[in-house]
Amino acid sequence: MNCTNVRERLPELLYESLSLAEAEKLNDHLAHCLACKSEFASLQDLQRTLDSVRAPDESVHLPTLYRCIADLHQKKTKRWRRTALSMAGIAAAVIVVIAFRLETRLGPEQVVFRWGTSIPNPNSVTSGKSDPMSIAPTDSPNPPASEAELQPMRGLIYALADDMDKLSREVETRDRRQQQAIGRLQENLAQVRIIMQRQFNARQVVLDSSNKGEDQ
Amino acid sequence: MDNDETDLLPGWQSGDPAAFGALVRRWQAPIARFVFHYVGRRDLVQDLCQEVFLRVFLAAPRYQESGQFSAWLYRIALNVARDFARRRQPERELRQDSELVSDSPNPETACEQEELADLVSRAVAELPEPLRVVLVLRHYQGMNFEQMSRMLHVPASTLKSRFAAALARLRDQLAPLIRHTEESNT
Repeated sequence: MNCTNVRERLPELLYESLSLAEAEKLNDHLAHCLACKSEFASLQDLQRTLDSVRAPDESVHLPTLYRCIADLHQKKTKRWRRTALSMAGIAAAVIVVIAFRLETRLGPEQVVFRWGTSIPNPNSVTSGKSDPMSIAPTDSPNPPASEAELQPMRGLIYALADDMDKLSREVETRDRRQQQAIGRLQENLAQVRIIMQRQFNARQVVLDSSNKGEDQ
Repeated sequence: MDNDETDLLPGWQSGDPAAFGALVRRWQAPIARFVFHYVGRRDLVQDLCQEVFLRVFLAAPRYQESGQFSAWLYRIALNVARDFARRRQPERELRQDSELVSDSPNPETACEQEELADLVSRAVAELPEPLRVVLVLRHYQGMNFEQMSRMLHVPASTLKSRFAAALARLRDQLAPLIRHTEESNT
Protein backbone atom coordinates (compact mmCIF):
# COMPACT_ATOMS: atom_id res chain seq x y z
CA MET A 1 0.00 0.00 0.00
CA ASN A 2 1.67 3.21 -1.10
CA CYS A 3 1.31 6.66 0.47
CA THR A 4 -1.13 7.96 -2.18
CA ASN A 5 -3.55 5.09 -1.53
CA VAL A 6 -3.20 5.50 2.20
CA ARG A 7 -3.84 9.25 2.14
CA GLU A 8 -6.96 8.78 0.04
CA ARG A 9 -8.36 6.54 2.76
CA LEU A 10 -7.28 8.54 5.80
CA PRO A 11 -10.65 10.31 6.16
CA GLU A 12 -12.38 6.91 6.31
CA LEU A 13 -9.88 5.76 8.91
CA LEU A 14 -10.44 8.93 10.90
CA TYR A 15 -14.22 8.50 10.86
CA GLU A 16 -14.04 4.73 11.39
CA SER A 17 -15.68 3.82 8.12
CA LEU A 18 -13.25 1.02 7.29
CA SER A 19 -13.37 -2.65 8.07
CA LEU A 20 -11.05 -3.89 10.80
CA ALA A 21 -8.68 -5.48 8.28
CA GLU A 22 -8.42 -2.31 6.19
CA ALA A 23 -7.95 -0.16 9.27
CA GLU A 24 -5.19 -2.48 10.45
CA LYS A 25 -3.37 -2.16 7.12
CA LEU A 26 -3.51 1.62 7.25
CA ASN A 27 -2.39 1.75 10.88
CA ASP A 28 0.59 -0.47 9.98
CA HIS A 29 1.55 2.00 7.26
CA LEU A 30 1.15 4.98 9.58
CA ALA A 31 3.35 3.31 12.17
CA HIS A 32 6.43 3.59 9.99
CA CYS A 33 5.56 6.51 7.56
CA LEU A 34 6.10 9.88 9.23
CA ALA A 35 4.64 11.91 6.33
CA CYS A 36 1.36 9.97 6.32
CA LYS A 37 1.30 10.01 10.11
CA SER A 38 1.64 13.79 10.07
CA GLU A 39 -1.14 14.02 7.49
CA PHE A 40 -3.37 11.90 9.70
CA ALA A 41 -2.54 14.02 12.73
CA SER A 42 -3.55 17.18 10.85
CA LEU A 43 -6.88 15.56 10.01
CA GLN A 44 -7.36 14.62 13.66
CA ASP A 45 -6.68 18.26 14.61
CA LEU A 46 -9.25 19.39 12.08
CA GLN A 47 -11.76 16.89 13.47
CA ARG A 48 -11.25 18.30 16.97
CA THR A 49 -11.59 21.84 15.64
CA LEU A 50 -14.84 20.96 13.90
CA ASP A 51 -16.05 19.37 17.13
CA SER A 52 -15.46 22.63 18.96
CA VAL A 53 -18.49 24.11 17.21
CA ARG A 54 -21.60 23.45 19.25
CA ALA A 55 -25.02 23.77 17.69
CA PRO A 56 -27.56 25.87 19.59
CA ASP A 57 -30.07 24.01 21.74
CA GLU A 58 -33.08 25.23 19.89
CA SER A 59 -36.42 23.61 20.39
CA VAL A 60 -39.42 23.81 18.17
CA HIS A 61 -42.25 25.81 19.72
CA LEU A 62 -45.18 23.51 19.07
CA PRO A 63 -47.99 26.05 19.76
CA THR A 64 -46.44 28.41 17.18
CA LEU A 65 -46.13 25.52 14.76
CA TYR A 66 -49.78 24.56 15.25
CA ARG A 67 -50.79 28.21 14.75
CA CYS A 68 -48.85 28.25 11.44
CA ILE A 69 -50.59 25.04 10.40
CA ALA A 70 -53.99 26.50 11.33
CA ASP A 71 -53.21 29.68 9.34
CA LEU A 72 -52.21 27.60 6.35
CA HIS A 73 -55.40 25.55 6.57
CA GLN A 74 -57.43 28.74 6.83
CA LYS A 75 -55.75 30.20 3.74
CA LYS A 76 -56.27 26.94 1.90
CA THR A 77 -59.95 26.89 2.87
CA LYS A 78 -60.40 30.51 1.73
CA ARG A 79 -58.67 29.77 -1.55
CA TRP A 80 -60.85 26.68 -2.04
CA ARG A 81 -63.98 28.70 -1.26
CA ARG A 82 -63.01 31.42 -3.72
CA THR A 83 -62.36 28.81 -6.40
CA ALA A 84 -65.68 27.08 -5.68
CA LEU A 85 -67.56 30.39 -5.89
CA SER A 86 -65.88 31.26 -9.18
CA MET A 87 -66.73 27.85 -10.60
CA ALA A 88 -70.35 28.20 -9.44
CA GLY A 89 -70.55 31.62 -11.10
CA ILE A 90 -69.18 30.27 -14.35
CA ALA A 91 -71.56 27.29 -14.20
CA ALA A 92 -74.53 29.61 -13.57
CA ALA A 93 -73.52 31.79 -16.52
CA VAL A 94 -73.25 28.74 -18.77
CA ILE A 95 -76.68 27.51 -17.63
CA VAL A 96 -78.23 30.94 -18.32
CA VAL A 97 -76.68 31.04 -21.79
CA ILE A 98 -77.83 27.51 -22.61
CA ALA A 99 -81.29 27.66 -21.00
CA PHE A 100 -82.31 31.14 -22.22
CA ARG A 101 -80.35 31.00 -25.46
CA LEU A 102 -78.75 34.27 -24.50
CA GLU A 103 -77.28 36.15 -27.40
CA THR A 104 -74.81 38.97 -27.02
CA ARG A 105 -74.23 41.34 -29.89
CA LEU A 106 -71.82 44.24 -29.93
CA GLY A 107 -73.00 47.04 -32.19
CA PRO A 108 -71.25 50.26 -33.13
CA GLU A 109 -72.98 52.24 -30.34
CA GLN A 110 -74.71 49.58 -28.29
CA VAL A 111 -74.33 46.21 -26.66
CA VAL A 112 -77.36 43.98 -27.07
CA PHE A 113 -78.21 41.10 -24.73
CA ARG A 114 -81.12 39.10 -25.97
CA TRP A 115 -82.58 35.72 -25.11
CA GLY A 116 -85.06 33.43 -26.76
CA THR A 117 -85.20 32.41 -30.45
CA SER A 118 -83.41 34.72 -32.79
CA ILE A 119 -85.39 37.22 -34.93
CA PRO A 120 -84.27 38.62 -38.22
CA ASN A 121 -82.12 41.66 -38.09
CA PRO A 122 -84.22 44.59 -39.43
CA ASN A 123 -81.20 45.94 -41.30
CA SER A 124 -80.84 42.73 -43.19
CA VAL A 125 -84.48 42.55 -44.47
CA THR A 126 -84.66 43.57 -48.10
CA SER A 127 -87.59 45.57 -49.41
CA GLY A 128 -89.55 44.53 -52.49
CA LYS A 129 -92.68 42.68 -53.36
CA SER A 130 -91.00 39.63 -54.68
CA ASP A 131 -89.56 38.53 -51.27
CA PRO A 132 -90.33 40.98 -48.50
CA MET A 133 -89.06 38.56 -45.80
CA SER A 134 -85.76 37.57 -47.30
CA ILE A 135 -83.18 37.52 -44.51
CA ALA A 136 -79.51 38.15 -44.82
CA PRO A 137 -77.18 35.59 -43.23
CA THR A 138 -76.84 36.26 -39.50
CA ASP A 139 -74.62 34.99 -36.70
CA SER A 140 -77.42 32.82 -35.37
CA PRO A 141 -75.98 29.84 -33.48
CA ASN A 142 -78.54 27.51 -35.08
CA PRO A 143 -79.70 28.89 -38.46
CA PRO A 144 -81.63 25.85 -39.84
CA ALA A 145 -83.85 25.69 -36.75
CA SER A 146 -84.59 29.44 -36.90
CA GLU A 147 -85.45 29.25 -40.60
CA ALA A 148 -87.91 26.44 -39.99
CA GLU A 149 -89.51 28.34 -37.13
CA LEU A 150 -89.80 31.44 -39.32
CA GLN A 151 -91.60 29.68 -42.19
CA PRO A 152 -95.21 29.86 -40.78
CA MET A 153 -94.63 33.45 -39.72
CA ARG A 154 -93.46 34.29 -43.22
CA GLY A 155 -96.62 32.71 -44.79
CA LEU A 156 -98.81 34.70 -42.42
CA ILE A 157 -97.09 37.92 -43.33
CA TYR A 158 -97.44 37.14 -47.06
CA ALA A 159 -101.21 36.61 -46.58
CA LEU A 160 -101.52 39.84 -44.60
CA ALA A 161 -99.63 41.72 -47.28
CA ASP A 162 -102.01 40.34 -49.98
CA ASP A 163 -105.04 41.31 -47.89
CA MET A 164 -103.67 44.80 -47.49
CA ASP A 165 -103.14 45.13 -51.24
CA LYS A 166 -106.69 43.88 -51.98
CA LEU A 167 -108.16 46.22 -49.38
CA SER A 168 -106.30 49.23 -50.68
CA ARG A 169 -107.46 48.40 -54.24
CA GLU A 170 -111.10 48.19 -53.07
CA VAL A 171 -110.80 51.49 -51.24
CA GLU A 172 -109.36 53.11 -54.35
CA THR A 173 -112.22 51.74 -56.52
CA ARG A 174 -114.80 52.90 -54.02
CA ASP A 175 -113.27 56.37 -53.89
CA ARG A 176 -113.27 56.56 -57.63
CA ARG A 177 -116.94 55.57 -57.81
CA GLN A 178 -117.92 58.07 -55.19
CA GLN A 179 -116.01 60.77 -57.05
CA GLN A 180 -117.95 59.87 -60.23
CA ALA A 181 -121.28 59.95 -58.36
CA ILE A 182 -120.47 63.34 -56.92
CA GLY A 183 -119.56 64.59 -60.41
CA ARG A 184 -122.86 63.32 -61.77
CA LEU A 185 -124.82 64.94 -58.93
CA GLN A 186 -123.04 68.20 -59.54
CA GLU A 187 -123.92 68.03 -63.24
CA ASN A 188 -127.60 67.25 -62.41
CA LEU A 189 -127.68 70.10 -59.94
CA ALA A 190 -126.33 72.51 -62.56
CA GLN A 191 -128.98 71.37 -65.10
CA VAL A 192 -131.73 71.76 -62.45
CA ARG A 193 -130.47 75.24 -61.71
CA ILE A 194 -130.52 76.13 -65.40
CA ILE A 195 -134.05 74.75 -65.79
CA MET A 196 -135.32 76.60 -62.76
CA GLN A 197 -133.67 79.76 -63.98
CA ARG A 198 -135.43 79.36 -67.32
CA GLN A 199 -138.75 78.69 -65.64
CA PHE A 200 -138.28 81.73 -63.45
CA ASN A 201 -137.45 83.87 -66.41
CA ALA A 202 -140.50 82.58 -68.32
CA ARG A 203 -142.80 83.28 -65.42
CA GLN A 204 -141.24 86.70 -65.06
CA VAL A 205 -142.06 87.40 -68.71
CA VAL A 206 -145.58 86.19 -68.22
CA LEU A 207 -146.01 88.34 -65.13
CA ASP A 208 -144.62 91.38 -66.88
CA SER A 209 -146.99 90.98 -69.84
CA SER A 210 -150.01 90.50 -67.58
CA ASN A 211 -149.15 93.63 -65.64
CA LYS A 212 -148.85 95.56 -68.87
CA GLY A 213 -152.36 94.33 -69.96
CA GLU A 214 -153.94 95.46 -66.69
CA ASP A 215 -152.39 98.89 -67.01
CA GLN A 216 -153.69 99.33 -70.47
CA MET B 1 -32.07 4.96 14.14
CA ASP B 2 -35.62 4.64 12.90
CA ASN B 3 -36.82 2.09 15.41
CA ASP B 4 -37.63 4.73 17.98
CA GLU B 5 -40.39 6.32 15.96
CA THR B 6 -41.98 3.39 14.18
CA ASP B 7 -44.79 3.34 16.74
CA LEU B 8 -45.30 7.10 16.32
CA LEU B 9 -45.59 7.13 12.54
CA PRO B 10 -49.17 5.79 12.19
CA GLY B 11 -50.42 8.31 14.76
CA TRP B 12 -48.55 11.15 13.07
CA GLN B 13 -49.95 10.20 9.68
CA SER B 14 -53.50 10.07 11.00
CA GLY B 15 -53.12 13.58 12.46
CA ASP B 16 -52.64 12.71 16.13
CA PRO B 17 -51.05 15.82 17.75
CA ALA B 18 -49.49 13.76 20.55
CA ALA B 19 -47.65 11.52 18.07
CA PHE B 20 -46.51 14.52 16.06
CA GLY B 21 -45.32 16.29 19.23
CA ALA B 22 -43.34 13.21 20.23
CA LEU B 23 -41.72 13.05 16.77
CA VAL B 24 -40.77 16.71 16.99
CA ARG B 25 -39.21 16.25 20.42
CA ARG B 26 -37.31 13.21 19.17
CA TRP B 27 -35.89 14.92 16.11
CA GLN B 28 -35.66 18.62 16.90
CA ALA B 29 -32.07 18.49 18.22
CA PRO B 30 -30.56 16.57 15.25
CA ILE B 31 -32.44 18.76 12.76
CA ALA B 32 -31.37 21.95 14.56
CA ARG B 33 -27.77 20.70 14.47
CA PHE B 34 -28.01 19.92 10.77
CA VAL B 35 -29.51 23.25 9.68
CA PHE B 36 -27.11 25.20 11.90
CA HIS B 37 -24.00 23.58 10.42
CA TYR B 38 -25.43 23.80 6.92
CA VAL B 39 -26.34 27.51 6.98
CA GLY B 40 -23.80 28.61 9.64
CA ARG B 41 -26.18 31.03 11.38
CA ARG B 42 -27.42 30.52 14.94
CA ASP B 43 -30.12 33.18 14.68
CA LEU B 44 -31.92 31.30 11.92
CA VAL B 45 -32.00 27.83 13.41
CA GLN B 46 -35.32 28.22 15.20
CA ASP B 47 -37.14 29.54 12.14
CA LEU B 48 -35.67 26.90 9.85
CA CYS B 49 -36.57 24.11 12.30
CA GLN B 50 -40.13 25.42 12.47
CA GLU B 51 -40.25 25.36 8.67
CA VAL B 52 -38.89 21.79 8.55
CA PHE B 53 -41.48 20.44 10.97
CA LEU B 54 -44.24 22.43 9.31
CA ARG B 55 -43.40 20.69 6.04
CA VAL B 56 -43.21 17.36 7.86
CA PHE B 57 -46.71 17.88 9.24
CA LEU B 58 -48.12 18.85 5.86
CA ALA B 59 -46.35 16.02 4.02
CA ALA B 60 -47.59 13.33 6.42
CA PRO B 61 -50.20 11.88 4.02
CA ARG B 62 -47.56 11.50 1.31
CA TYR B 63 -45.02 9.65 3.46
CA GLN B 64 -44.74 5.97 2.64
CA GLU B 65 -43.28 3.85 5.41
CA SER B 66 -40.15 2.12 4.19
CA GLY B 67 -38.03 2.15 7.33
CA GLN B 68 -36.20 5.30 6.23
CA PHE B 69 -37.97 8.03 8.14
CA SER B 70 -34.70 9.73 9.08
CA ALA B 71 -33.54 9.93 5.45
CA TRP B 72 -36.94 11.36 4.47
CA LEU B 73 -36.76 13.88 7.31
CA TYR B 74 -33.20 14.94 6.46
CA ARG B 75 -34.22 15.39 2.84
CA ILE B 76 -36.90 17.82 3.95
CA ALA B 77 -34.42 19.63 6.19
CA LEU B 78 -31.93 19.79 3.32
CA ASN B 79 -34.58 21.26 1.01
CA VAL B 80 -35.47 23.89 3.59
CA ALA B 81 -31.80 24.77 4.08
CA ARG B 82 -31.18 24.89 0.33
CA ASP B 83 -34.23 27.13 -0.19
CA PHE B 84 -32.87 29.45 2.45
CA ALA B 85 -29.37 29.42 0.91
CA ARG B 86 -30.85 30.29 -2.51
CA ARG B 87 -32.78 33.20 -1.01
CA ARG B 88 -29.74 34.67 0.71
CA GLN B 89 -27.33 34.11 -2.21
CA PRO B 90 -27.19 37.80 -3.24
CA GLU B 91 -26.57 38.78 0.39
CA ARG B 92 -23.67 36.30 0.64
CA GLU B 93 -22.09 37.52 -2.56
CA LEU B 94 -22.16 41.08 -1.28
CA ARG B 95 -20.65 40.05 2.03
CA GLN B 96 -17.92 38.01 0.35
CA ASP B 97 -16.90 41.02 -1.73
CA SER B 98 -16.61 43.35 1.23
CA GLU B 99 -15.58 41.18 4.19
CA LEU B 100 -13.78 38.09 3.04
CA VAL B 101 -10.27 39.42 3.65
CA SER B 102 -11.02 40.64 7.16
CA ASP B 103 -12.90 37.42 7.98
CA SER B 104 -9.92 35.11 7.50
CA PRO B 105 -9.05 33.29 10.73
CA ASN B 106 -6.73 35.39 12.83
CA PRO B 107 -5.39 33.57 15.91
CA GLU B 108 -4.52 36.81 17.64
CA THR B 109 -8.07 38.07 17.68
CA ALA B 110 -9.97 34.81 17.63
CA CYS B 111 -8.93 33.81 21.13
CA GLU B 112 -12.36 33.32 22.55
CA GLN B 113 -13.94 29.93 22.07
CA GLU B 114 -17.09 31.47 20.71
CA GLU B 115 -15.21 33.41 18.08
CA LEU B 116 -13.28 30.32 17.06
CA ALA B 117 -16.49 28.36 16.73
CA ASP B 118 -17.97 31.16 14.71
CA LEU B 119 -15.03 31.17 12.31
CA VAL B 120 -15.18 27.38 11.91
CA SER B 121 -18.92 27.34 11.32
CA ARG B 122 -18.59 30.09 8.75
CA ALA B 123 -15.82 28.21 6.98
CA VAL B 124 -18.07 25.15 6.83
CA ALA B 125 -21.03 27.19 5.65
CA GLU B 126 -18.96 28.66 2.83
CA LEU B 127 -17.88 25.31 1.43
CA PRO B 128 -19.38 24.46 -1.98
CA GLU B 129 -22.79 22.91 -1.42
CA PRO B 130 -22.00 19.33 -2.54
CA LEU B 131 -18.98 19.21 -0.19
CA ARG B 132 -20.79 20.93 2.66
CA VAL B 133 -23.77 18.61 2.75
CA VAL B 134 -21.53 15.52 2.91
CA LEU B 135 -19.32 17.02 5.61
CA VAL B 136 -22.29 18.05 7.76
CA LEU B 137 -24.07 14.73 7.40
CA ARG B 138 -20.94 12.70 8.08
CA HIS B 139 -19.20 14.74 10.77
CA TYR B 140 -22.06 16.37 12.65
CA GLN B 141 -24.89 13.91 12.04
CA GLY B 142 -22.80 10.72 12.07
CA MET B 143 -24.48 9.39 8.94
CA ASN B 144 -22.57 6.72 7.02
CA PHE B 145 -21.93 6.91 3.28
CA GLU B 146 -24.48 4.25 2.39
CA GLN B 147 -27.25 6.14 4.19
CA MET B 148 -26.16 9.36 2.53
CA SER B 149 -26.09 7.64 -0.84
CA ARG B 150 -29.72 6.49 -0.42
CA MET B 151 -30.77 9.91 0.74
CA LEU B 152 -28.96 12.03 -1.85
CA HIS B 153 -29.11 9.53 -4.74
CA VAL B 154 -25.36 9.90 -5.26
CA PRO B 155 -22.93 6.91 -5.32
CA ALA B 156 -21.14 6.30 -2.03
CA SER B 157 -17.73 6.45 -3.74
CA THR B 158 -18.51 9.97 -5.01
CA LEU B 159 -19.60 10.99 -1.53
CA LYS B 160 -16.34 9.65 -0.05
CA SER B 161 -14.32 11.71 -2.52
CA ARG B 162 -16.37 14.80 -1.72
CA PHE B 163 -15.88 14.22 1.98
CA ALA B 164 -12.10 13.95 1.56
CA ALA B 165 -12.12 17.12 -0.56
CA ALA B 166 -14.16 18.99 2.06
CA LEU B 167 -11.73 17.99 4.81
CA ALA B 168 -8.71 19.01 2.71
CA ARG B 169 -10.24 22.37 1.89
CA LEU B 170 -11.17 23.07 5.51
CA ARG B 171 -7.77 22.00 6.75
CA ASP B 172 -6.08 24.49 4.42
CA GLN B 173 -8.51 27.25 5.23
CA LEU B 174 -8.43 26.74 8.99
CA ALA B 175 -4.72 25.89 9.31
CA PRO B 176 -3.80 29.04 11.30
CA LEU B 177 -6.75 28.50 13.59
CA ILE B 178 -5.92 24.82 14.12
CA ARG B 179 -2.30 25.68 14.99
CA HIS B 180 -3.49 28.28 17.46
CA THR B 181 -5.90 25.83 19.08
CA GLU B 182 -3.18 23.24 19.43
CA GLU B 183 -0.79 25.79 20.97
CA SER B 184 -3.36 26.97 23.49
CA ASN B 185 -4.18 23.37 24.41
CA THR B 186 -0.53 22.46 25.10
